[in-house]
Amino acid sequence: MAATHHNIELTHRGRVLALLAGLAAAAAWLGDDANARIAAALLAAPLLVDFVKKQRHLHHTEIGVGKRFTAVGAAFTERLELTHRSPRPARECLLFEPRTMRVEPPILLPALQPHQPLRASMRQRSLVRSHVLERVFVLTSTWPLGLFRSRAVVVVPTELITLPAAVPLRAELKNAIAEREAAHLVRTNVRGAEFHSLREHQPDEDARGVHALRSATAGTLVRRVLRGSLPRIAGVVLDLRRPPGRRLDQGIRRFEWSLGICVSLITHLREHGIDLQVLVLDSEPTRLMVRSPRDQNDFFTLLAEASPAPHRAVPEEIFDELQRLEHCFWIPAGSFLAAPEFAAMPGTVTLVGEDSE
Amino acid sequence: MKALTSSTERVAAWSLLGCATFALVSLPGKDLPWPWLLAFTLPAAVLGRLPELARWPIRRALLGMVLQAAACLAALHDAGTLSRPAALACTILPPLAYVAIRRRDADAALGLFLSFCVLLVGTILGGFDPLVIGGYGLCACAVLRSESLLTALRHARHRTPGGQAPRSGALLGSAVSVTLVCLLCAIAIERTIRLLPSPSRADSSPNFADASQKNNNRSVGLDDSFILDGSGGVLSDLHGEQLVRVRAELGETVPSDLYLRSGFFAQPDLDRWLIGPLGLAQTNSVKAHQLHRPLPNAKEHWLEIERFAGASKFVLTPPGTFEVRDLAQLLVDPDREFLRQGPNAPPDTYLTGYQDLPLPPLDLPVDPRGEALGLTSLPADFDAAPFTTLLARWRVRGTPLQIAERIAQGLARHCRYDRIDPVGPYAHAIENFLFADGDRHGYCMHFASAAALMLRMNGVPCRIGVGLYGGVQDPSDSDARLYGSQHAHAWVEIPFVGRGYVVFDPTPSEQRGQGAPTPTDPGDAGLDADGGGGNFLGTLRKLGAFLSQPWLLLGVLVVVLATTLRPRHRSERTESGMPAQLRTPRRLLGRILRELARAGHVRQRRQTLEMFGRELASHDRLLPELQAAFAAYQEVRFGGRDFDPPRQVVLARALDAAAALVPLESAQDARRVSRTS
Repeated sequence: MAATHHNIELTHRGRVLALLAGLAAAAAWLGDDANARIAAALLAAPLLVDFVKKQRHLHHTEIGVGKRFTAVGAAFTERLELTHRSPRPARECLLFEPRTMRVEPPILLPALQPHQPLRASMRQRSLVRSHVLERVFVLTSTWPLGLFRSRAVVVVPTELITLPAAVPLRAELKNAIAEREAAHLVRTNVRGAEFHSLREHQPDEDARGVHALRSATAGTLVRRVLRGSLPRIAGVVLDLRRPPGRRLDQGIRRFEWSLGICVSLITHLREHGIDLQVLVLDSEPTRLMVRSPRDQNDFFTLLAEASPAPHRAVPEEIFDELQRLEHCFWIPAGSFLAAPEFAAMPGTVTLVGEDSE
Repeated sequence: MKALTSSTERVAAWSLLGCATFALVSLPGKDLPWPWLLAFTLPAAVLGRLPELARWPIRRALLGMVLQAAACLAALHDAGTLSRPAALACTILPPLAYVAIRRRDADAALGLFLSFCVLLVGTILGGFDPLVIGGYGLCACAVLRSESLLTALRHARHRTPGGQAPRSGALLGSAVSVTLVCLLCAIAIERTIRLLPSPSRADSSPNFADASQKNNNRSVGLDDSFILDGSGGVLSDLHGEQLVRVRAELGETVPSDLYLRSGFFAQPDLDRWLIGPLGLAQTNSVKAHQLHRPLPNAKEHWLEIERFAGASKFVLTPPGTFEVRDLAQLLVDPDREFLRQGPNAPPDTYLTGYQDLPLPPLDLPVDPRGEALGLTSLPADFDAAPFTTLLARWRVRGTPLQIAERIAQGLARHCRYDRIDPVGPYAHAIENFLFADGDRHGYCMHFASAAALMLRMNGVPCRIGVGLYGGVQDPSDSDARLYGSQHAHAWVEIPFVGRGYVVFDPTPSEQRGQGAPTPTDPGDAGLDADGGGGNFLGTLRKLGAFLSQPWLLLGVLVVVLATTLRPRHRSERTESGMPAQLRTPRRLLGRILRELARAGHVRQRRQTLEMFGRELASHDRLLPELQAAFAAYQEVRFGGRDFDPPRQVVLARALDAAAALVPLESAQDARRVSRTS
């Protein structure tokens, strides 16, 4: 874990000047020459002044930034709020985040006044699928004379989740999903349960279902009856295991591609109102339900952290629930195409990315 | 030249041009007349203004050569030839002009470096000019400031929040402030380097050893070098302290123009004079030693000389001294009127009797023994021709005294007194002092050395006397004068028949006794040669002298660096981050807590006011006023309430109550007593 800190280093210009000043001072000392003394003094004075005036409180800058989801390589604009907690203003600071600004230029903050929040936006781009729990920003300044560089590393405890880059779904896969999509029982734009009728409230029922307005009008307790479409559930198996005897550091491109297609598939299915039962075959199998945007984010976070896993046999009973589902998608991210568990699945399983690479 | 798209770029460009201009101005006009300056700068500047030529480097080179050759021919025609040092300096000028005008990415750094080189050459050739150095420093700081900002802007591709960019006025303002600090800092560093014991300055030790071997009669510890580059002289090792206190006997006062000789130098050289052979003999009498009989028609004066630590090994005597009393282990060379104590002699106060004699008559002959004493010899590699030219120009002839007067007048016209080493193209300081073009300057050592050489060239025996001159009146005793190392002085002494060594001082009278710029600045002790400086200017001079003390500046440097490097804790942040409306209640609460601490209840770190209140209550010491004050403070601190007059009253009452609280132990004793009763 990184820690907020700062350091001061000589710039190239400062190094040359320090070298010249040192040579002149040595000459002045050895030769006791007045001109050499003047030269040494004139060369050393700006170095000394720059060092003394250097901003040593850059790391007292607080940076406010929220949690962010992004995709690999996608540009985004991050909005920051900076507050400099120091008695003196920070001047001419360059702010950048090394992780997300490898190709983007830093921004220049002409002045950060003490205790006055400053809003700034930065164009960033995360190039690596990852889930970081703290973001590291770097503030540098060469103010006033550019002979020393003051550098502060500011660590902000916030999450940056970089998802795999989305891969377009093939038309066959989209058609397969569409063919299996049944018509809605209730022609309504509202998803889930909606009002159907009223009936008498029974004493052992949950009082939260009582219709307050109608009960007051009728003089007795009346409760609502709701009816709606039950959500469809599809299964997704994300197999991160490498085939037996294969190294973990191989097949990375296919792995990343598979994760990307997993993101696209999940997004597509969720857009069609399908709930998902996901089984991730990692070192330890993980099961989770994706029913809401929050679940979806949790799953995406898991994708951001995923890595190939060594081959390991999975108990068969773990697939029981999936086998009962209407349809299931199997994504062999670890390139384990001949998984016996997949062969044992019923015919309603679609292998995603079979002929991708 | 690149288009200047922003005010920062304009500042950077003009500042670099300013640097180049100041560097050119620093070059001495006599050595480098303006046609030559133009010849070496204009062609390169023209090339710098034609960036499109960069595509055809051969054409550019050819054009440059043609332009340069034409310009040099024109300058040669107008201003004649150049001296060798000036020609050498000129080689830097074309690249400086080129980069100053072109201004590409790295040109600013290169331009600064080249202009600094030119400035140094100018300082070496033409002397130190504070105005030029200051102007150059200002421009250089502006270049560094603007280049630092420009680099940041380039890195950020000119992206700033809200598109704000620093204005040129603010940029220049900060450059000026940085320049002032830089110049002060440069002075401090220069003086600090002076304090370092340089190996070159310590050269006198081996020479001394050699001289000792040649002259067995000399006592150990005697300084024997008179070095003409500002680091020599008998009193050169002294560090600005008080040296002697001279009190006149018999109700007289010490004259302000009194010379006190501590030594002399008779063996000449162009760079350093040596003492030469001595014939020291130890005296047996401690009570009194007579050097010669006093002249019958002259009044005798007696001085009591008290030596302080820095002068404990010197025996200072005025010219015309005939007797010295109360000195143990006295070594005397009567022919040379030289006195010194043995190495282990106590630093006693002693009495010296002297006669203040008028100048001898013009026709009084010099002492013929001078030649035997080596007072007419000249340096071995002495080139007399330029000296002869000067003497001829000054029409130096006549009796020895007339010769001396002519030489003094000639030196006063020809050279200027300044406490800076002479600069110039010659190898020896004395030649630079006398023959350099332009500003010829030097101090008493150079005046005395030049006069002594010229006197000897005219057959007048002489030597250089060194010691103290002037002094200041002792504030505690109006009959006494104090002398410090800032009153160190050098003069010439000519032996006359029947009169001994007569002082002839070629240094301009108003500058006598200001010493040489040794590592210890003569002005350090804060004493003034003109009698104490009772007026405002004198006070200012004293203050300036005090502020320019090397140790003080070194101390300030060390303190500034220590303050800079002192680690700062995060606790400062919370204090500085406290809103303004909280400061008054916080101050009042602090006073209440101090009163409570005095009463024996110290609030621990990280203990909240509620916890502290509970602790007070457990001792049955939580007064209602205190409880109300804590509540009021917490309302203001955390509740967002104003610190209104009622709350102020509550805190003020609590302060009174806390002040009236008896100490904890006394209260417990009283309670115990009441329970017992």
